[in-house]
Amino acid sequence: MIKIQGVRKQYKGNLVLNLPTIKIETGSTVGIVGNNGAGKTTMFRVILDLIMPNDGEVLLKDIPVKGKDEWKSFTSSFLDEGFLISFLTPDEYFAFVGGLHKMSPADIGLALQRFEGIFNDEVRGKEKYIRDLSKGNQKKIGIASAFLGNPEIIILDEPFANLDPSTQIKLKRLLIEYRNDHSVTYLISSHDLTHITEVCDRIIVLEKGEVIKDLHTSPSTLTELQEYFNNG
Amino acid sequence: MLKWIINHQSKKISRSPSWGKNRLLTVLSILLALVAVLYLMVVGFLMDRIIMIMFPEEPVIETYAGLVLFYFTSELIMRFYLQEIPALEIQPYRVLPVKRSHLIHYLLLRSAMTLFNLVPLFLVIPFALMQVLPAYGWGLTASWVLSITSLSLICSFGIVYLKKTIFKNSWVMLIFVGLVLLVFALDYYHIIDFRSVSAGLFMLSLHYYFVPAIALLTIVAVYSLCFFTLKRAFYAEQIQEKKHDNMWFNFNPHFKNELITLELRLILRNKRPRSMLLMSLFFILYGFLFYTKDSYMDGYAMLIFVGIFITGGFMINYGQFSFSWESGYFDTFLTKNISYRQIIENKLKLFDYGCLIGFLLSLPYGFFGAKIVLIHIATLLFNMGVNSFFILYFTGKSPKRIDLSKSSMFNYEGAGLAQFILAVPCFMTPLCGYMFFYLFGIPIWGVVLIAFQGVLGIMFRQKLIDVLVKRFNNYKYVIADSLRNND
Repeated sequence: MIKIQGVRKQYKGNLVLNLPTIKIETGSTVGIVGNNGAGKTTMFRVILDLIMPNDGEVLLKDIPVKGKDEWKSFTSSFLDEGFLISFLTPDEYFAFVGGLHKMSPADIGLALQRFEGIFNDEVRGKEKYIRDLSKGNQKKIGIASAFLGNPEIIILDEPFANLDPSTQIKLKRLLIEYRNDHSVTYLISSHDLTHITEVCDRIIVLEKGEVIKDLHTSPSTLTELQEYFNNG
Repeated sequence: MLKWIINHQSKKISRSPSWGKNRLLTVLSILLALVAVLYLMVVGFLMDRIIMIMFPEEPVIETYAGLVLFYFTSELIMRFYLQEIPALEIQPYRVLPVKRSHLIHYLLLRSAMTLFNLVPLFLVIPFALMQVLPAYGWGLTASWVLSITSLSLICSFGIVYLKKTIFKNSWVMLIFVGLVLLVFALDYYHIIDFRSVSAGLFMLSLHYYFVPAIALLTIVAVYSLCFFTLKRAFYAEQIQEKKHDNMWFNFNPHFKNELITLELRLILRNKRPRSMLLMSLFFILYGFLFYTKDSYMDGYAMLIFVGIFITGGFMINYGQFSFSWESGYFDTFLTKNISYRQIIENKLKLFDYGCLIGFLLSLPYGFFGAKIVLIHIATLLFNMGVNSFFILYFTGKSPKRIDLSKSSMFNYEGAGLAQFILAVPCFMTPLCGYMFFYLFGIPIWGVVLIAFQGVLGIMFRQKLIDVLVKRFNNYKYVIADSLRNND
């Protein structure tokens, strides 16, 4: 599904990303962990063709992303507020994103039903613009919009950050339930080791742009990760 | 405390990334400011002569006094749109142990530091020195200057108060503008004599010293009114500019096109693009300056220039910052299910609508002659076919970031070399083609050539879009990076 081939990215002579070949199978959930500056967001930006790598390439469904638009129809993502349109209301934003996937308002309503618990009546049907909402609610909108249009790949950058504890738990459950209903490949980064080990079946640890560990999740993974970060 | 805030604000300016980074722009802004000051001085020093030419039979001082209220009422409308209360500047200090009243005093004083309060000084003082002083002496001249300039401060604080209270709704503002226009009209048809009210008021200040005293007291009164209003609103978020309650800006266009709807919302819901829209409506009025003068009406070249401006005012004004407007969510464009081609196609469509509306609004100029309509048709086609391409081509390489939440007054964010260069092809291409025919003595064919170029551009639009898409793909990462860069 996702194939990263020797991607290297340099900023002013500093190597910030140096990935070997990574293949991610359809239907798997991959978690990316690493301290700040490990290259998680840079990796996502390369995958989404937002920045150009110095070497290597990324293929989504065997199509290279670089300079192409095809992958956009089956890949959706939420990295930061730059993905939201601040002067729209949440509903208008969903209508916009859904409309790009040729979804009708009814389709959109249906697709967002599973987010009702997370939205907690603070998002839909409100006349406030996104720029006036709290960071947490903005995040919820961004994440929910990434599920519109039946994407086959969903990329989320630190989805649990900025959310309150019960929303974090609801989101975790939602990610798992959605995966059971749909054929979807997740790529998720997080600082929360517990959440990430619960959701993901494969975890990649990055440090200074390099892959340090590439684990298949087992009962001992959480302890292993905690030990690793404890020493680092 | 005040010292600290001022210190921080000056650092904000001197350390802002745009300061000094763009030398050319800084120099140009300073030059522009100097030119503006120069113009104001010239107008100020020639004021008496201008009045004598316009109203040759009437006494100069009285005529001048009669115009003062007109000036300030029309200024009030402009202030409503352009004068800001810099509420965000104090945001970081609100949680610190600073007296609330200090912050509000700072806010109010800061709001008085606006060009609107500076301009009257240029218009009042030279005139007072040249005309009033010889006739009335120092004391009464001071009384006169003080009365008029305090009126400008009354307006300044008055608008702060009005904006915080009754002018929150744009309908109230429309009614207000209507009333002002009604007063002007009634004065024009001599039904009521607004001018003599103004004249009476300010001539009084040349006889009694109580007039400036009352004016000063009024300033204090309006200031305290503002102070207490802001103090009451301080806790609530009311102090921040939030204008999403007016329904008019929320209209939902019926055509089912997400990108155009999005862009219309972008224009209507954000201050700076919205004032650009208003500005381009004002540009349409420019026609009166040119079409009423025979010296312009005889030729073609000037009229072509004006025609491009009138039919393309919106496109040029708004379009010169294409993609900069979208900087806040440009990554959305790059990752959601849209191709760059669709974005370009929709932008061109929006430009088309803008040009067409400009053309329709300017149709009444046909009153000055069918020639104008002909030129407008030619320039409309040229704007739609050729200039729209130029604009997207020149802005498409390195658009600069624009923060939509910032105000519009003297905001040069997003301006770069491209905006200056842009004017050259937009205005020179049609004029060059025209010149060719003009030299052969058949200028009308020059106009036809302009229209023809436009039609060609519209016919080959897909090819032009190919060029733009190719160019975008070459510069994509640079563009995205410069728009994302919000240091």
